[in-house]
Amino acid sequence: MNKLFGFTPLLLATLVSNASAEMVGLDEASLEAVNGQTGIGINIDKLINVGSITYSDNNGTTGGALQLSNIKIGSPSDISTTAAHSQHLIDVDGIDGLFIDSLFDATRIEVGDISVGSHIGSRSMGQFAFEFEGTNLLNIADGDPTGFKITSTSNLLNSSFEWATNGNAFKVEGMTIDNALTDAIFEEKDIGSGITALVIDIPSYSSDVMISAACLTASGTDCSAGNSFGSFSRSMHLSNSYIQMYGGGREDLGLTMNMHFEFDTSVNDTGDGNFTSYTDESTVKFAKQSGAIDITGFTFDIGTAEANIGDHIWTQFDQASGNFKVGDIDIAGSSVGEFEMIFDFANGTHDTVDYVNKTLIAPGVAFAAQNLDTTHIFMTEFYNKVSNSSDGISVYNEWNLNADFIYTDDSYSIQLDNYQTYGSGYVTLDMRSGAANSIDSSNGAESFLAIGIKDYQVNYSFDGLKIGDDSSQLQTGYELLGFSPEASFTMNAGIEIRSGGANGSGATFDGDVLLTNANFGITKNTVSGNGIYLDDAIYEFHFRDVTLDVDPAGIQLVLGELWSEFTINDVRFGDKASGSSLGALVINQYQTGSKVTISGGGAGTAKCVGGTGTDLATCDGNWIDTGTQGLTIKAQSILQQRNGEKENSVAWVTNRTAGDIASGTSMTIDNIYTSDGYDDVTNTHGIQTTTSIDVAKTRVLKKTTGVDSNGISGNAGDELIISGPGITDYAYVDPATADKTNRPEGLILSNNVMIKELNIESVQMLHPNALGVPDTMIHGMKLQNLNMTSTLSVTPIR
Amino acid sequence: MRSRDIDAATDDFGGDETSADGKTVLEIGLPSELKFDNFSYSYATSSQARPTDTGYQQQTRFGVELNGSVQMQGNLLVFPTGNP
Repeated sequence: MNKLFGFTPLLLATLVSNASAEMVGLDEASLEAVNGQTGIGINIDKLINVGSITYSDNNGTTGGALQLSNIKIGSPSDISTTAAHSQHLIDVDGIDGLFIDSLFDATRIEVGDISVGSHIGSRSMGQFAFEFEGTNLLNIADGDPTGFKITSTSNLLNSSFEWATNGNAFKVEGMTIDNALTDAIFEEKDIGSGITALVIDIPSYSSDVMISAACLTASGTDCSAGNSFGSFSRSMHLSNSYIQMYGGGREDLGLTMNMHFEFDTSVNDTGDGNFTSYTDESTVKFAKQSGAIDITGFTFDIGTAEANIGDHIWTQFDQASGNFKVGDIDIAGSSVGEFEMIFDFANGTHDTVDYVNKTLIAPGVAFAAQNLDTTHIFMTEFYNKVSNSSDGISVYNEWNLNADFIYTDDSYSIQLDNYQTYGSGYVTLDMRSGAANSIDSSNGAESFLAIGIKDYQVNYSFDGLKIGDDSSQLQTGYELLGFSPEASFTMNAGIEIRSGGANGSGATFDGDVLLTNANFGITKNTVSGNGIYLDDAIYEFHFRDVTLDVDPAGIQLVLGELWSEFTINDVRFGDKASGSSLGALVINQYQTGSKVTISGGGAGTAKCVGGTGTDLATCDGNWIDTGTQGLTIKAQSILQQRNGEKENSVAWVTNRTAGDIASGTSMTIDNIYTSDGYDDVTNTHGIQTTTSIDVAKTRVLKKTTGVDSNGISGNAGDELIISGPGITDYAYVDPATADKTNRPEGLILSNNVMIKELNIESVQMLHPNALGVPDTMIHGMKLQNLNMTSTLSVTPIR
Repeated sequence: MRSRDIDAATDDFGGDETSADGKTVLEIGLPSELKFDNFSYSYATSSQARPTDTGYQQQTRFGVELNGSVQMQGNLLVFPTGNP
């Protein structure tokens, strides 16, 4: 491997002249605490200023340079004039090796700019700073039989991280970081295929991180109680992991790594084990994490001349496969259940296009100041807030993934089967501030993260649901959850995120989103691929002042103002692109003040549906016990009356010429809105829905006498009783003698809808020869005082 | 509920399958039984849009009350025809 590190002599001289160290007397007591009775104590006062550090993998034909410039190390009180102090006690033991016991006083490390290739000097990823104080105990011993054995324990506190662009920063503060690497073996090894690599075997590693606040703020200022996303905690324990590193990237020079990481699940036996948590007014916790990941062929290169982001950091891997499981998802003290993802990121080909898993990262905002009106005027306005020289990060991402997602509720599992996704696109990230730079002029002077999404082409599909395990029968039911079994679209968006929610910490969102060239499946036959599809669709979606908080009721989304237009040129039956069309649909939505609350626990009831009885034995209907886990979504949708072009309406268009919506005959359900029923002004109730999602045992009765699609015979009215895990391991038996404890499992949807008043101003017909003047077919419809409760159990069609 | 590809050679809807041969349809299986327990509604007209409006008067035209069960068989098939 031939690396070029570009320390210029001048900068090296600066480093040497500004760094100072002095000999001090031995601290005998501290040395005794480490090992042995002798050693060396070193005090270092660091005041370091480095002009730049350059990494290059340029071989004359490929590759380029990555430069970190204006690097400073010093005291947080004044990094330019005050040194950061640290103390290091060094001891060598004949048996246990070298010990270095370090104590770091408050230290700040700054990187003034990070840039790549031709961007150096003109565009930067921004400024980065890390502050810390704490201790580290490092032991380097003989690796036996080869290499070095390293054990390291570090405890950092009062730490903070800041990423700043354009005078605004994303800041993480109040960090406590405790890491422990135990008996890691560093050695040079032959890993096959003629490759010698540095191999790091990691038998045990633990990392505990606590963050008291994270926010978006003016650079150099701290987070506050009302301006914070909240606090975060993470505890991760790994075992039996390794990293292999060797020279050579995807293009000649560079770096290649193979890695294996797996969670140490022994810590999950008590408490939360491996966990991640986010705390606002209440906590969302992902506890008892387990799983493993193998990454092969991960490469690091400097790439050049990407069409939109130019020179860039180029990371790519051949394959990343494994599983990740969260043993308990908890929202505000209520359990949702378990979640597991089995994944395989690997190269793939779709419609003759090859997809790999790579991420290209470049400095600056790639689409700054460009005219993007051909995509949408909101994209031009979003990127006109920054210039070609603005700091930021631009990313090009390409992926190909196959996965299964498994959700387990009270020990009953449901699987989203054979999920496949691939695509590519651009994302830009930068921080801005002020109403003039915002897509919503009513915003204040606060700092915000601006996320631009450009030409993001997304494709995904899944086969269906399986209740039980991978050997269970495939079924639908995803339609009732709002999942599309197959979709493809191109996404462009400008999104702003602010720290602070509706109440104290949290997050606030504004955004404009456009999906084009879209095709969404409603339901499909997995074998033939035929189904019902929304084809040639355009979905334009806008949201303002959407807040996210977590409080004792759960995850709270207050939706501010939403408006959208969903134009579906063809509702197709059959092939997704050429099936018979039902015509076009144009759906407009306009809401203000709507809310969504997501909480754990599910329906949390045991009840006799469609019969009477107080338990499984006495219930003569369908006894459904949803247990203590599950998911509940409460929504309040307040539909507003027409306001300019914002409205709630549904238009169905047929009889078109060449599929042109304007040439067709339309029927429009116009100006749909809610009210409280007293007048047309008061509108606080809206449509209130409570939907609980559970997996539980349910009753299934045979509909017709004869043999079903699996070859199992029975009489109409017989009850399906499970006898084993296989698809055909069941029988239809007389309900009077059925063993109810072996009923099949199903997806249980418990739903309640409440409406005080839903208004439709008119139903209109418009003929193309009417020159845009519709005829009113029905003038005024009102639905009042609806309160409907339902329980749906979803099982395979047999 | 599912999407279903109709094949007149194997599907039998009493002859109706020929008109849907080769089409993909939305199949909604009818429930075997619908049970009604004190299901009722009234159809009424009123002089004003809202009960709170001045001079509001309502006249019930007819009422329906249902008790019992309805047995059902078969599927509802939905598919497009005509010029979209």
